[in-house]
Amino acid sequence: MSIVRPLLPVLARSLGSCSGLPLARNAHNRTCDENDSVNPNFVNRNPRNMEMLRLARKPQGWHLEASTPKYWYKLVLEQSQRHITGQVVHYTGTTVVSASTREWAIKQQLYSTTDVIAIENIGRILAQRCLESGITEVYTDLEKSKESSEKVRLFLSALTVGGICPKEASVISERDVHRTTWSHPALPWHVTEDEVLKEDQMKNAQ
Amino acid sequence: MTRLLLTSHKTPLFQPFRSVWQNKIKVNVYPSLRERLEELDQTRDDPGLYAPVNIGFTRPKPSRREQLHTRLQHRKSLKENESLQQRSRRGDQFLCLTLAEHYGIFRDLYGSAYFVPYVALGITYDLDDHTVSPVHRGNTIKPGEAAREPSVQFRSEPGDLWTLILSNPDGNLLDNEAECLHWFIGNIQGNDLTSGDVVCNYLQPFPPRGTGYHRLVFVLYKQERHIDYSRYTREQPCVSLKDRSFSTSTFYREQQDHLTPAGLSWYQTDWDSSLTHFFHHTLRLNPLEPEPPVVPFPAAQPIHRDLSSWERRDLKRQRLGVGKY
Repeated sequence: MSIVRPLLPVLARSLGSCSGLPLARNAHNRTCDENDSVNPNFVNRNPRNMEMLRLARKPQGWHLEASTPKYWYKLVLEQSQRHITGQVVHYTGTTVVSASTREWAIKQQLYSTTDVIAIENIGRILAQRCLESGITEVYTDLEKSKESSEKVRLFLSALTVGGICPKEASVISERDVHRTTWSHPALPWHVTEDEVLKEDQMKNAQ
Repeated sequence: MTRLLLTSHKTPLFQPFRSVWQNKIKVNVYPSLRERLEELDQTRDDPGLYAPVNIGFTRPKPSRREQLHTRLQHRKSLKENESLQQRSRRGDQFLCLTLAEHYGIFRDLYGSAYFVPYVALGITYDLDDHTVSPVHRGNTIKPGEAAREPSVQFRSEPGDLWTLILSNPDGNLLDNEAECLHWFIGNIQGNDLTSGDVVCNYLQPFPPRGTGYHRLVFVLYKQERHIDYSRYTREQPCVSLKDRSFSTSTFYREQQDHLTPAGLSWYQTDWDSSLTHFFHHTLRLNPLEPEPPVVPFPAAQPIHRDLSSWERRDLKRQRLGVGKY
């Protein structure tokens, strides 16, 4: 549950204002309608909201540890003697999305559950399931074994082609918000998706 | 089914340790993180009261031995054939269940209850003839794409009756504990949505700017018999936020004898530039003045170099708010 600051710029100016008096700072000086009065303390209960806004903190671990992976979602690949399992695990420990050759739906279509075809298909299926579940970026430590293992390389390429980015976005810190000189707006809530799409279209057109 | 952790909304008074008398000596007990988290759990005192209840359907389990036997025969034949087939499109109900808990769907809709969605819902928003935005388990769809009613498909016997409700547990701008109702169709015969009674007409999602991502949840209920929804019917078209305030738990408690939830699907939306027009014209909210740009350190803004030295000094003093002396 993320308690977002009160909707000051957008809606709080019309708080409790349905007393019939016109708002002083109204652009059009219309009398308020019934929809104008809203709750001054709005709470967005979506537990994934803060992660999607890049404001949730990633678990920091202990600072004397050699390496502390900081992530919201981690990619886990398990290759056992008989099966291959790909999982996306949340930092709280829940396995959110998984694809395994143990599942009958996948196993019945594979000649072998441990070869390169199997691992590539597991990658494709995992990518599709992640996109359907609203996960587009995952943290992975498989990059270092990409050169040594063909299977891991194929798995990661199947995921990337499927639409999952193997690098998670960083958390927006207070330092980034209070910059004295901003050459261009860089924070997600200042840059809208429409503007980015328009820029991309113009670049593609050129 | 892991128990849903009910945490209190108020942070309790933090006590780093408790004192306990042992053999006439006062000893400090420092509870571990696990013990502290258990203390926060409201359901610890009476687990029976808060135990999650399955309100959905249960299916009889087929014999595992027979299942394994047939599957083994199939795999053996596959090994002999060495051929690959088309990928199957069977939905996985238990994957949906884990994700629904991860997104807090059951917690915000029902509280302690949950259900296993055995009916696969195929919901798509048609953008044009070639493109559709499907709704699965939490994918992002912009409000501009969801402006019109989606097409809803599911497998059903012709005689069955269904109810479809689309609600936004994060989108109620009046009450934080209730949801905003976006679509309510009751007494749907078979899988033909046009045959149902429209209790509340479809309204596109409208997450206000700055509030982040809202969840929009489709729940399909199976009805035992025809239900009279006249007490829930809103006058159409309904654009009043107060009328659209809805609580699934209250509604389900009233209708639980006749309804069983069977299908579940949800997506996430956030603000879109098309919503400005929607807020001003459809919801009839008063348009606001544009926000003044936020300058982080106003005193650190550059000063024009053509100003004379005393003008520059005065400007700096003005910005810092220096007093008379």
